Amino acid sequence: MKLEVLGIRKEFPLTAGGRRPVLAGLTFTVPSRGFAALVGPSGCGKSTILNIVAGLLESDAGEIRIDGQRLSRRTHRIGYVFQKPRLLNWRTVVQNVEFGLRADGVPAAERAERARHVLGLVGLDGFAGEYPLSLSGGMQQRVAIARALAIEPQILLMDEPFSHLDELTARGQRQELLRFRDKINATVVFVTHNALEAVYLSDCVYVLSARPTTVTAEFTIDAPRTRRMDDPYLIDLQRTVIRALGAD
Amino acid sequence: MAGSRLLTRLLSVGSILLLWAAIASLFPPTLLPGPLVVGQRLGALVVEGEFWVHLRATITRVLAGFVMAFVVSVAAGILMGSRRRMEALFEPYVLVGLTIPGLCWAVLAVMWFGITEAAPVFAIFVVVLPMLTLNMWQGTKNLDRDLVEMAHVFRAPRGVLLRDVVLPQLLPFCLAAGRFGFALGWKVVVLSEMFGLSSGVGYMINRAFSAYSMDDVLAWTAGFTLVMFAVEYAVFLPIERRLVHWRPVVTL
Repeated sequence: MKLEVLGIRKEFPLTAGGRRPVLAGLTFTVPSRGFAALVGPSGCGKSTILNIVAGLLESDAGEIRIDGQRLSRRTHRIGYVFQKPRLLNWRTVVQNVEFGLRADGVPAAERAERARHVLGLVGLDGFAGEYPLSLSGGMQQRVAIARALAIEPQILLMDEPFSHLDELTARGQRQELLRFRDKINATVVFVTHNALEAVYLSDCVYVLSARPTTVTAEFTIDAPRTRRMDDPYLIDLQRTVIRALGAD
Repeated sequence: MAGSRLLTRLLSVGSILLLWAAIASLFPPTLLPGPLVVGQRLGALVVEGEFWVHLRATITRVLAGFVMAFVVSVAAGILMGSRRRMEALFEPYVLVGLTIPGLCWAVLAVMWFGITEAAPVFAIFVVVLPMLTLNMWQGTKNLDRDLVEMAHVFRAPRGVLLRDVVLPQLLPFCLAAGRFGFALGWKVVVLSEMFGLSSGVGYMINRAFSAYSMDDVLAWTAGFTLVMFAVEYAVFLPIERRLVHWRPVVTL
């Protein structure tokens, strides 16, 4: 479904008094089943945007629409993948994947079926009965992705999901994400500070400014979904994105 | 590895008995009888059946007071840990409760309830409750906020949040509360039984004291200590193993 983020403003009160503007009229659109990356300097309020879209935070002004309808936590399903996996370590992999479904009251048989499906999608069939702490960091993050996919989200939010992994593992995870990317029906918003990751994974990149945050540039990635990290076109585009970030 | 640990434990228990025997040999048996004499006396009490009658009375009281305090403390602790208002409201209660000596409660309970079963159960309840509440309160404050936020993102209703996210994190605290509360309950019940009851291990110890029978005082004490040992190994340790089966083994 098409996601429209329109003129979102957000200020946070400061402990010392006064208010600090974080988002200053942020606007971007992601077409249905599109994959948009938001790239910005650290501390630019990227997580704040996701929290507002997820309904964890209220915005001060602006609107979020899904297929033209005002976003509501009640009618829309929104998946969230955090920086860290945030798994329930005392529950098995499959129980973790079913968490969102149990929360939504989906019957057991359907839960099991959907969990099996998404575990296959992220390449973790055969690990259903394991406990998270016996898996590697990359696999734990894929369990978290499977948990988000299991609820069949209309919007999937990913908050620097690979930033806590070592570079080699992160590469593997990005390739995996590209592999099952087309089988996801969700519209994806992927937040990162890694410009190469952004151009490698997404259809379009929005470059954000430092606080108070607005969109300063927009790039469309004109490449097939099967990509190579060392594709000269992507490397070039990465340089352009970094320039737009103003971090030369 | 498990075998050598067991051996160390047995050695430890053996050393306690040896130390006891060595010290006892320095004093006349009326002042400090050795482990052998006390063991024989305890054996006789067990065979005659007297031990079981009073043990049952005592354990029942401890369990009744402890279970009630446990249930209340879980609810109160979660409320205090998650609501600032509740924390401010109940914190003084917990602090005052922690300060009042168990002996005072044992005396007050007998004065209020007389020689009834309510007296020891009440005393255990009020002594154990603040301790357990403090424990559950700290446990709730230690909850992983990131996981609670995750549960909110997935729209988990309160029941799912409690069962899948909150309670599993509180279980280690419940276990600590169980061990602690049970041991504390036993210390209070003996006081209660000394003051105003006509059954129970504490009552028997008091009777042995009046008769100045050191054998009996120590036999009853040793008997109950053995029972507490058995509870630790038969109840708490297996529960602990079950609780952490998802945790990979840590080697330091």
